[in-house]
Amino acid sequence: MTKESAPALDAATIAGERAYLLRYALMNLRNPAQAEDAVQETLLAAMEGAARFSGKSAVRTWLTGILKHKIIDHLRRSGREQPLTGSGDERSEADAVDALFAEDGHWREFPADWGNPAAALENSRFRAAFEMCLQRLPARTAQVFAMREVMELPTEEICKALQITSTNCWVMLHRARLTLRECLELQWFGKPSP
Amino acid sequence: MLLSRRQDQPLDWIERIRLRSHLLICKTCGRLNDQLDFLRRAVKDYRDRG
Repeated sequence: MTKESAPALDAATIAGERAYLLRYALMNLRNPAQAEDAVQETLLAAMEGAARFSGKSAVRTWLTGILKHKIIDHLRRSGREQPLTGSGDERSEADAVDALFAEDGHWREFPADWGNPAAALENSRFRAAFEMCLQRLPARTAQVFAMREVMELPTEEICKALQITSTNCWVMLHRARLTLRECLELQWFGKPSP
Repeated sequence: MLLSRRQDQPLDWIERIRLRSHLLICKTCGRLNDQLDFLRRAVKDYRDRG
């Protein structure tokens, strides 16, 4: 047999990644219809390009690469229609974060001891609380955070795609992390264990 | 802010020294640092496992 062996990539394998892709898209786009579109486009592109799949990377990695491009396209498009401007939402979040710190930049209230937080990852109720905290982030902050932490883009790329300064980008990431931290502490780690 | 930026960009040597010496005296900051690392891990876990 001299014929190159075809990589194991069929419709069923691709479809098996659908739930993961949809969650990934939803974390970034936060709009079920748009997320569904991006996944659909990805699956179509994958079926058409299945022959180009080298089999060197995992199917999931390959599909995620396609999806990232589709998500950025969607973000660009909706960014044109609805530019990312600060809203009242952002303001109150900034105030909430500022309220955590004293004048000298130190904490007013100490962050609580979270014990061994990794254990919480196996708890389905923690996962639900985490999901809720992510959803509570204001749109603009959440978008920058998802591009950084879900898509794992370098900050320069995020700044370019959203046309914001790198300082602005870092400030938003910092706020996102502190807001998420605070929410998890209130919703989970600060509560006495049931 | 330095703690957060550390997650996005390698700090230069002056920043690393500043951060390290500050973490020696600020227990709370060390705790925050660990929590930020955990958040990063939790996002990936949620993304990959739902």
